[in-house]
Amino acid sequence: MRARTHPPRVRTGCDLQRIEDVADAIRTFGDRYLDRVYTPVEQRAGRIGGAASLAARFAAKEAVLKLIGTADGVDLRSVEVDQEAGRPVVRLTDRARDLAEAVGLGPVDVSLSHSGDHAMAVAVAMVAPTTDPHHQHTDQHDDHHTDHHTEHGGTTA
Amino acid sequence: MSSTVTDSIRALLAEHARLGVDVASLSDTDDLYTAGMTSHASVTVMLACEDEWDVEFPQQMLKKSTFASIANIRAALAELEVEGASA
Repeated sequence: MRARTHPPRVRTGCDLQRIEDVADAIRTFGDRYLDRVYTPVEQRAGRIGGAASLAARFAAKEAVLKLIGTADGVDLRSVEVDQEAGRPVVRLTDRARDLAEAVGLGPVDVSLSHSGDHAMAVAVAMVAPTTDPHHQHTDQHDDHHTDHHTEHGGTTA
Repeated sequence: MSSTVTDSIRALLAEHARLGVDVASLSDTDDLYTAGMTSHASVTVMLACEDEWDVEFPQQMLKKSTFASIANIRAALAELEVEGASA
């Protein structure tokens, strides 16, 4: 008998967002929508880039939440998408950060794009190797670890 | 009973949920995400509920399951003590 070790793995998340849905939400709910979903940094980007910019950021938030494996109880503002040196960067705070740490998520890289009616984002991170000390190695199928896939397509640890 | 609240939820869903099907064709327990509601649409449904009943969903209620069906939304409104939402 020996503990089973899961090697480090790459985890990805993606999301697609209709730009018009974001524009419509801004028209209908105004600051209430903006303040519930986007940080001041993101809202500033939205004032320059418009609904497309915010839609890409919303897609990025969802993509990152798919990496984490759940959005339950996570304030969308705790996944902040900013821009540094021409590249988007993700900052996790509060419950999003705690959950990311709990599943062993490393630094998150994200890429945004938009064209026509849609914006999209892809998020990638490494998941730290884990050891299950309670696992008893009993057969040759030990490497066939099964992930639990969320409806979003992300994985839980 | 809760028919008025349920009717209002259905009206809000028709306006904000961007479902792929007619909301009238859904039962109270049908899965709204399966019916085409996106995560973004669930946010606008939440905001529409807050406007309609002058309530605010606390962070711990912002779960995918809260907005997964008409019955679940009604249960959440009952938890927020919206009159007529309790079964």
